[in-house]
Amino acid sequence: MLTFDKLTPGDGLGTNIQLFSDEVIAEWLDLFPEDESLLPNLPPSMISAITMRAFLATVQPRPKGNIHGTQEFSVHKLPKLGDEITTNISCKDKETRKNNNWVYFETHSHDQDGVLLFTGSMGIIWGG
Amino acid sequence: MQKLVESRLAVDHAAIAKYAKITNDYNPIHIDPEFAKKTPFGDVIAHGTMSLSLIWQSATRTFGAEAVSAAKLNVRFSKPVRNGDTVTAGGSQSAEDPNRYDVFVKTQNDDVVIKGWLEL
Repeated sequence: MLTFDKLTPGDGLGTNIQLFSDEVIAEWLDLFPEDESLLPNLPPSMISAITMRAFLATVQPRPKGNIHGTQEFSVHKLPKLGDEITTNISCKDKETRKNNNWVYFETHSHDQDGVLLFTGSMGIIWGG
Repeated sequence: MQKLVESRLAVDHAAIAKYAKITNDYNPIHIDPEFAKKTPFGDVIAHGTMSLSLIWQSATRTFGAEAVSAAKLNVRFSKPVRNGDTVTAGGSQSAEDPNRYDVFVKTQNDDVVIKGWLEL
């Protein structure tokens, strides 16, 4: 279990690879059909979903009761259908504030050619 | 002062289930009413980033995808979104910085659930 005590700022936590495929976009358009007009580029609205899927697949096992408190993104380039999105995740910082244990994670996503797509930083109140 | 074109989503069990599948986030607080009853929320809550997606949609509808492809976004999740809520994202140009927009997601009751800024 990745408890608050075990998470160390600066540590890499792993890498996740997702294919931006027809199947992926079909599921997205079922929820947000208006984004179809943005294809073949990744709709910007999918950035947070791609990042969360990478985070959840990589940072585990997690304690129960985590609460997503803050999120930052910087977008550099939007991938296209068929591109592979590789996300590296690391622990950026942690602190105890107002009796809550906060952990900050950094995400860097790039395509199959190594081109940076988007970066993120999420602050999570860690449950254990 | 420019305002963002608003983007809206009706949040129900079906929408939450679809987003759970997309992100592979099957935390019971989102999908299991019996589990959620025993939490301080009392019912399932939506994934925060599902509502966050609406800010990107609002920005894209206002400025176009090309402008948003170099954007920065910084938000805080302040309240949960519940099954049955309708959430709306929007924003307005900052008085201090013309490249910055104060953005929000709020419920049908004007409860702000996400607040922050977008920079283009």
